Amino acid sequence: MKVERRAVLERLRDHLTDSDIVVAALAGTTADTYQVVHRPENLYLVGLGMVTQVSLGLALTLPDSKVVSLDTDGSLLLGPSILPVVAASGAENLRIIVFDNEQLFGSRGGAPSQTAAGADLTAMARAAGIRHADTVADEGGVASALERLFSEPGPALLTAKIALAFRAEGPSMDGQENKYRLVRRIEAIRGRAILAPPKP
Amino acid sequence: MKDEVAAEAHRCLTEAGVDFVACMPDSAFLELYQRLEGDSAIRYLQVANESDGVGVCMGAWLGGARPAMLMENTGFALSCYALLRGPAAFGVPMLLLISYRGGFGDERWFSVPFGWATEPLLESLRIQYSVVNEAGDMAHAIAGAVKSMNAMQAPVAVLFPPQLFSEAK
Repeated sequence: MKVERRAVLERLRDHLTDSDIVVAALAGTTADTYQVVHRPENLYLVGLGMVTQVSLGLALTLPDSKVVSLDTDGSLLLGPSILPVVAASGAENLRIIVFDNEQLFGSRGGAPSQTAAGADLTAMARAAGIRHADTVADEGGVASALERLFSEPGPALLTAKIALAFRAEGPSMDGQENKYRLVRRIEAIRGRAILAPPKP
Repeated sequence: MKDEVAAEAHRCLTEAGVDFVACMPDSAFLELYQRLEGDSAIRYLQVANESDGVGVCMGAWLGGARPAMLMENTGFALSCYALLRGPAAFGVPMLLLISYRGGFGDERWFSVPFGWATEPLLESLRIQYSVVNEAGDMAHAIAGAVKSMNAMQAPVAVLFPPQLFSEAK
């Protein structure tokens, strides 16, 4: 029995404080994140091949916050070149959770991804130099896998082999509104301005 | 890049408040990225793919940095998807510092198509840009690019053509 994405997100909530940042891949990942663990510190609907990339930039500039990348098999297969960069960066505050449903646009029954044919994202991460990389493939292992993910310094990666699920409702704001809200929140976390006041 | 040009670029970037640089090393920029990497006031990150660098710069800006991506124009072509899906869609500023290979007078046949494509690509991506034809243009180009990227909440590019490179291109 594979893992439910929502079960991982429910457990994730326990590991977050209100100065931690969550970056969610588009589609079902964003929808379930919004439904289960919506918070002002979330960035939604980040494009394929950009989720862990954006998360790494956040992690390097916000060393006092944990940054959680909620990535997917299709997205990480598009941009696997970020894995050795993550490893070399030594970003101890970065955690990557890869929701691997072995399918492209899984919530609509799309084509299988290469993980269905045996590509192993955890092994790829380890080979890229990310020492703390693990896989959870059953519901009973979720809590302990997340404990391990957050108990050790990052960068760390957890692949969750998830069941296919229908897509829930996502956030009602677009990326620009999400950006402004998140940046205002990060300004509060950092205690200094990011956006300069517009020139009159 | 000629040493004195690299020094001027480094000075202008510092003055413009750039404090985060993602770089896909290009031999044309050797003297510049070595300077940036050695600058303790700048967080320097070498990437393996220019698209990744754009994503990292987007995250760095959200986190409060003033980021620049240093890359060859071949890599700029590679990064067009990331530029559209990330900074264009979300409205995130970043400075793109791009070596202009394949430009007028470049004898490398495989660079020529990138010379054709660079400015039309920037225009189609609605990215404002300026070309630094001589080192004296640098201060105005970089300071202006940073002001524009902040005002527009979008990426802005500065192009460096071959006459600014060192002899061994």
